[in-house]
Amino acid sequence: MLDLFILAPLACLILINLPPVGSRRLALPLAMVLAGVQAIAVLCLPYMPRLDGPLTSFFNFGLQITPLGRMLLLAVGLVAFVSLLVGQASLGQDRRLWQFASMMLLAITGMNGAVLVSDLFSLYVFMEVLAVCSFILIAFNRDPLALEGAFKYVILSAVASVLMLGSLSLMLLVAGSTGFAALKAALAAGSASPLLKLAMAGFVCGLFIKGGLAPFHAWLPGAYSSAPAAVSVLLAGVGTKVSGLYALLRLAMDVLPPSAALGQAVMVVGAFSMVVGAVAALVQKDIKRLLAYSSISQMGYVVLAAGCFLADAGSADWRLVAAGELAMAGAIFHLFNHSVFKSLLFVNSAAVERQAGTTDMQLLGGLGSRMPVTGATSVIAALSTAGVPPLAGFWSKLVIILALWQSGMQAYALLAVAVSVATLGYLLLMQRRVFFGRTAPNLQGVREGSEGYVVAELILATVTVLVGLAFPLLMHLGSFLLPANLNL
Amino acid sequence: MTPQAALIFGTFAVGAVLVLIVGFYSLLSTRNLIRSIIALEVLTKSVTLLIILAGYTTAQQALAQSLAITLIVIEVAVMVVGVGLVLRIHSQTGSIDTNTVENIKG
Amino acid sequence: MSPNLLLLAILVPAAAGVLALLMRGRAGAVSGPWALLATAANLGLGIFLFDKQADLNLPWAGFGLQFVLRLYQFSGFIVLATACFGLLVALYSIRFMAGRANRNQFYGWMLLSLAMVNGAVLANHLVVLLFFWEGLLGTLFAMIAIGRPGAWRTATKAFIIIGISDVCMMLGMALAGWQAHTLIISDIHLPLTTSVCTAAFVLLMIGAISKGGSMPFHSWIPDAAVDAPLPFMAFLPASLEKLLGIYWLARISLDLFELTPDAWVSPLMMIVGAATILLAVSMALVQKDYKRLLAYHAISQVGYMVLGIGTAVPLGIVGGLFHMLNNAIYKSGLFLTGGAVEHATGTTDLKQLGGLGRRMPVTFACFFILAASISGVPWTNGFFSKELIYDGALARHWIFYAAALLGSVLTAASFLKLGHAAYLGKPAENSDVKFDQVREAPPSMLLPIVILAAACLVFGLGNALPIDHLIAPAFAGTHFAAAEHGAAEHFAGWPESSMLVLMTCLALAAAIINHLLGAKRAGSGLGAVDHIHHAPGLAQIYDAAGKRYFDPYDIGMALAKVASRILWLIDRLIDGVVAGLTSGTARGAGYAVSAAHTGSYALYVVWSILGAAAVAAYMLMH
Repeated sequence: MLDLFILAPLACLILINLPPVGSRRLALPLAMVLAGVQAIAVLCLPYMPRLDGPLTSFFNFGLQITPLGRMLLLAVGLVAFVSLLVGQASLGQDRRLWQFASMMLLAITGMNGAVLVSDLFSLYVFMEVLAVCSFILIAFNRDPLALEGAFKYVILSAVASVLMLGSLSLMLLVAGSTGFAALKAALAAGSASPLLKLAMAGFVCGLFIKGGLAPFHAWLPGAYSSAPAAVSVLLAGVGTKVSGLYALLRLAMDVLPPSAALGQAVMVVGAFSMVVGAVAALVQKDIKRLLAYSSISQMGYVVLAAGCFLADAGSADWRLVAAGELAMAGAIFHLFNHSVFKSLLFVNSAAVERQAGTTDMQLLGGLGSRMPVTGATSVIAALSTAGVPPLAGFWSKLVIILALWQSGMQAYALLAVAVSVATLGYLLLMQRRVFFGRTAPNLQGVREGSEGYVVAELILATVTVLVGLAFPLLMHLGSFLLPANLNL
Repeated sequence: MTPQAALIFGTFAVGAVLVLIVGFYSLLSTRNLIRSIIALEVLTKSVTLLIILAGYTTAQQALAQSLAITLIVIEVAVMVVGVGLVLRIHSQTGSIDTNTVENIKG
Repeated sequence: MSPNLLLLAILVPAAAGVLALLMRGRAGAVSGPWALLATAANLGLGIFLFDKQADLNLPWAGFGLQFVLRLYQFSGFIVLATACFGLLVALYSIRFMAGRANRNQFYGWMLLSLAMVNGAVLANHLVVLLFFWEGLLGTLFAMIAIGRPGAWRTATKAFIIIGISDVCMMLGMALAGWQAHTLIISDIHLPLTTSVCTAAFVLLMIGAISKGGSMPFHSWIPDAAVDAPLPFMAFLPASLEKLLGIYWLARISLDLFELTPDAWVSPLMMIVGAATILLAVSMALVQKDYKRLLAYHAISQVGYMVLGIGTAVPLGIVGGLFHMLNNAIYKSGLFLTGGAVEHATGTTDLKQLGGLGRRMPVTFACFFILAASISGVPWTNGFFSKELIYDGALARHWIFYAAALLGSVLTAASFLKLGHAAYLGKPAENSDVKFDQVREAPPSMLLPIVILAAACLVFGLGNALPIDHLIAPAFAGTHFAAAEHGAAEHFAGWPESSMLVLMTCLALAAAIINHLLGAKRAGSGLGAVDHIHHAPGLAQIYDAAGKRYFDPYDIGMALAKVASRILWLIDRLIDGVVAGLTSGTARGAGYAVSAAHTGSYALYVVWSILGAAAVAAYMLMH
């Protein structure tokens, strides 16, 4: 029944594109319905009966759902829904809307598949499915800059594939299979071997490239800023997250052996990303590029926490192990929160771009009074990103910082706090330049975006506020958002 | 491993690494977008070789073959998209020099 | 009786108050009767709860904070008293506030104040008490701010003054709770031997006396008398705040700490009390506005209460508590007469009044009784409470007795002046008041005044009723009860020492003589104390006081301005360094990183390869 998550979008895709049967006008609404149903289905997943679908029984696919995966499925459903809304609002009259919807459905298939499989190569396959869709989606409107962004993504994605597959082959050499369980056993047994160390480093670096961590990140600002609005929302919200970060977290929990060295290396990369992203964002003049660097910085937090988990997992001291698990919980929660607030920020920039015609902050100003919903939700998203209570971002950052502190890595914790301050800084700068202040004369006629944008913004803002307010409750219910193997 | 297997393994391993290096060098030094796509192909081939090698060494040839075939299919899809992008860049700017894709800075 | 009924004492007025606040605009006409209904309900509740015992314990916020209320004789008595005053003021205000735009706010905040006072009195947990105490601060601000335009300045002043003393009280609570290892008030019994305990006592005392309006926390009251709506004065400063403040003072002296005559805080309290009496009554003496004069007297009378409790002997303490009750009665009555005068003539400026006694006989008669009570004329309730205080003060040191007696003389003198200037004599010339249109106050305003004046006589002649049933039970369980002369001593009835009575009568006679002489010399009732006002030496002091040189609030504000300017300069300096430095480096780093992204994908691939190599090398080495 988990196969439905993969089969349903695929079936819709085929349905839309079959000439006699498929209706091109229904493409986008069908995609939206699918995404919405997915989001709701994930929430109801614990209560649904287990049905064995065709894939599991026929192909013996080995799909597995973990709490991390469930959370990402929810994020995928939510962000895909929002992205389709924005797509409809921004591409509305384009005759190729059905192509857009088709690509989105394929992307959803890829993401769902990546999240559900328990085999390293299958993971790679689905990641590539997503990547190919991303290339096409980025270049959808054939803008020269968009083509350039897509092209750089192609190059670096291929480099990442090379790294990952090379490492996969090394692991295959030792383990004889690519399933997570087999790999876990083999890695645990032979973790001192230089070949396996090389393999782990290589695979993780490949994931870094996909996830956009510094110094492997450089394709990301170009791709996010030049992509059409709806695609930026999808990419920033769940695209890179599922490819790079989900895989990293899943591997950290289920495959990689506890290793101080790997953990330290990952933490250094995470810390470097946090700083580079925040610092570069401070001087950006384009909204989307600023948000892209902000993504890099936020993913730095997630990776930092994942590294803390890896470094602490093998420790003899149970307190450190618990701190590591707390860090992983924080990383997962932050990943989800980031999906929500980053998508929201991108939706806001999409609305601004549509209504004001530009995303250059030097040409914008004073839009807050003219686009009240956009301005208000932008403030909420900015505060959540910076980690201001009681919004969701605060809790996830707090958990990460606490976990770092308890692991004895106070320097990293303080760095995380400092970067939070910087985050608040550049986001408020953006907010001020775009929404507050005096309205430029040529922007006098700007009005609030159309309903698509407004609804999307409101949905995401509500989610971030609710999650933030309800987090203390969720923690007590020992819940949905945190992996089941943690006892907090 | 038997000496014969070790020899084969060694040769192919070195060969794969050489191909990898050639691919990276080409990717980094070319001024032609099509060549960079070809370089990506070369890189992917070297990795395919490594996978097959791994299958050979661990006597999992069936698995390795299926992986390699899947990989080739994926790589084709990626390359098609890449070439499509290059074609469109060419149709818009009339050039396939790498400096047409150096406009997004900062 | 279920302890949950105690919650009603808080919730009923609070809910009524919130609803009253919502009755904006036209609906304001309903808010008066609504407030009357609510205060009547509150009174009913107070009567029901009186003389019962109950303890309520509910979980509240986290961290082990419980919502603990305790009803016992003392707290029940105060709740009943505040409820009575609430009803009387509500009844009075129906006519007084009729037609004013924001009357619904007045009633709303009034009801909320009642709820806060009930909560504070019933509270048995320091944090709960603090919560309601602070809530009262908020409603106080609101009730002043809805008065004349510009009243918000006085409201702010009151807020700051009481706020500062509340901070002291918080510190005191923290210290007391820490020393006693509990935050439950009825469980705290600390001796006044260590300096920490004494410090806690002093801090808590500051909070209590400031609420009551003692010096040096007094300077907002005369301003509020003029700026705030008049029933507010009768409601909060005159009655509720005194009741609450002195209730708390009594609690900390009797229950929380064991106040004994040899603790050094006892003379401290007596000095503060005596100083308040004298300084405030001197200021009252020379006021030419009905309300300001009454306001200074309100401050002065608190001095008696603080002096009484500070004597640390049962006589004095009983006197202080009885005086608290009596003062609430006659002070609010006096303010209400002032309101009646204002309602009838449109002004309270004594220079424009005169001869109102003929046209407003009932008001004048009540004023006479109330003024006699505050002056301590025999057989009024003020007389009995003052005698008890004199007795207690004399038991400590004659100087305090002398100060209290002098205060009484001046009190009597100033009320003679007030009464003469407003009610007797001839109407003032060149006055804006149309004296032939002055009529007696309407019945709904007269009734509360009459009730209060009657209460003065009843509590005077039948003083066993309040003393034995309301006040003496406050001693139960305190360290005084353990002493030999605890419950056995009988405080009610005619004072034991006839000499004291004689001294009092002499003092009153002196005041009357002074007044007659002064009036004759000045030619009018208003000028009866001019010879004191313009006496050499005193004249300069009065001038300076009139220019507010002695107002502690103004002095404090001036100092605060200087301090804030200095701090601002320091802040600019730090700001320049920190902001310049950090933002400069951040920006520089940002530009560097930004410039590194040249747009060439080859560079990016190189970065990735180098990064991967670094990670691999690190892993291989460890």
